[in-house]
Amino acid sequence: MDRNEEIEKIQEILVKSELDHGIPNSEIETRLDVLAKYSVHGQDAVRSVVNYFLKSSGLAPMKSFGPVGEAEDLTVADAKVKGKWANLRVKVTRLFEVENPKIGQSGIIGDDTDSISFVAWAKSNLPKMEEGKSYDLMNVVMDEYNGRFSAKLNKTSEIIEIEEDITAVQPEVRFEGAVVAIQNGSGLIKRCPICKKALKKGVCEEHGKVEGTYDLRIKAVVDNGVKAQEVLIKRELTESVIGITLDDAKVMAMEALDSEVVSALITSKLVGHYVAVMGMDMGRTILASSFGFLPSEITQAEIDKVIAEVA
Amino acid sequence: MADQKGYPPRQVAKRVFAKELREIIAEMPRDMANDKAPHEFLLPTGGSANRIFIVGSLTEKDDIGTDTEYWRGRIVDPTGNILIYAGQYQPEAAQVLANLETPCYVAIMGKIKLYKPEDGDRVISSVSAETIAMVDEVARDRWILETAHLTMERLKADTPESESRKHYGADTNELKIMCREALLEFYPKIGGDQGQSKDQNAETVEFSDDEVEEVDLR
Repeated sequence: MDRNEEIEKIQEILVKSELDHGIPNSEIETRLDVLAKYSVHGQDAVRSVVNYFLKSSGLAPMKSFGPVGEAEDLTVADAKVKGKWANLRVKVTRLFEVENPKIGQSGIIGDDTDSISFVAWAKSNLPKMEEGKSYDLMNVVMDEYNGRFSAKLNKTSEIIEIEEDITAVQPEVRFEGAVVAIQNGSGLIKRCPICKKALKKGVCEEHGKVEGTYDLRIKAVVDNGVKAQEVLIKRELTESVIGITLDDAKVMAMEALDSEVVSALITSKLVGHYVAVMGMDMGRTILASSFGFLPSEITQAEIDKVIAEVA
Repeated sequence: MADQKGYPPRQVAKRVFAKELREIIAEMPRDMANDKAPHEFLLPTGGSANRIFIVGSLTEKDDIGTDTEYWRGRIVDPTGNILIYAGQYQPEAAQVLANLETPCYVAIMGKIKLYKPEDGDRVISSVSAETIAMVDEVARDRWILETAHLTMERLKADTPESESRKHYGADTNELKIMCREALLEFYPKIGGDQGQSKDQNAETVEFSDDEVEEVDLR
């Protein structure tokens, strides 16, 4: 292995690692020079340099340095092992709004065994996938955080659209309780036209002062007395839940000279009411696919159950 | 309220009947190392609470503020009544309360507060409202059922050695009766003579109007 091959190999491994920034070749060369003085070359030098950069970024050193392309063809359920390289045949069931500029695309993918989230890094410059379409995702690496797995797509990954319509299991969750709060950032908001992140006082955290585009959303807290669940309701569902369109909301805000009127309307329509929400469990938040009030009639069975408890 | 990002998870709003809220006299021992931890109050049925969610009838409301608006409301549920407060630090809640007409059904999410008047050894509990909203009868009915259920769950999970039993005594029978009383109005829906039990027990549902409570808790 000559010097250029060593550098190439090191870069190849670092790109696939959890390191989210590049290391210039000159820095790699400096490290290789040091090792060369001690007669360390080839595979041992590669391992030493890779782990040097991982450790100096606070990341865990790599244990194995297998060849590239070791990814196995796996089902989503079988791929759920941290650090595993896999080729997945999946359908994109949901694309998330990306608020982090480091992320190119993220969402949920699944097959008939399981569903997981995926993240494609912005710097990897991969083609964008579409919701509802099926793909072969080659050479993705599995990551795990708090018991939740995700597939990470990097520069070495490939996205190939396929004809086959993959059936994806939907990990939808249901939560019932009372709406106890409508959080800040609900109602009529403005988003950065570049990164879609919600603006704070007209300013995007990434892109500074921008001409925002309007959006409507609800960030609600649904509480059943045992758990307080945050729920995110996007524009379309928000419009049907509160019965006004984005355009109506803009007119309301303009007439009142205050966009707070929209969140006040949301608060008055939702807070204190018992609701059922279904949607994608995203950890801290449920991304609602449906949201509705519990029936205005309480069934005799519900009443009898509690009466039996207090008897 | 600030939008909380990151951990710890959002505090659950416990369900507590007015009668139980009024009996609260003690705070959980505080972890001195963590002075940002919320004040947790020992519940007579066991466990503790800081944030609560209550639904009931708003029967009175008054602006008791001097320089700035400071609103006080009385919330009645089938077990009793409790005072709620909303002032300049809860502007949305204060504004909603100011505009409500009594009587009506309201839902309140808020925090328990304890007050010790200087001239006595009593402790008075109330609720500092974070959110107030007018609701319909079904929300109130669902709350009563849910609160009876969760109150019984607390009683079941409680042990004779718990902090609550040290402060509120060993006998929890009255708290069980409270849950039964809370459901009295649901019995007529079954039909038959059980409906009369509501009238027979009417005196236990009534509350005494306690003037001592009407102190300024700011």
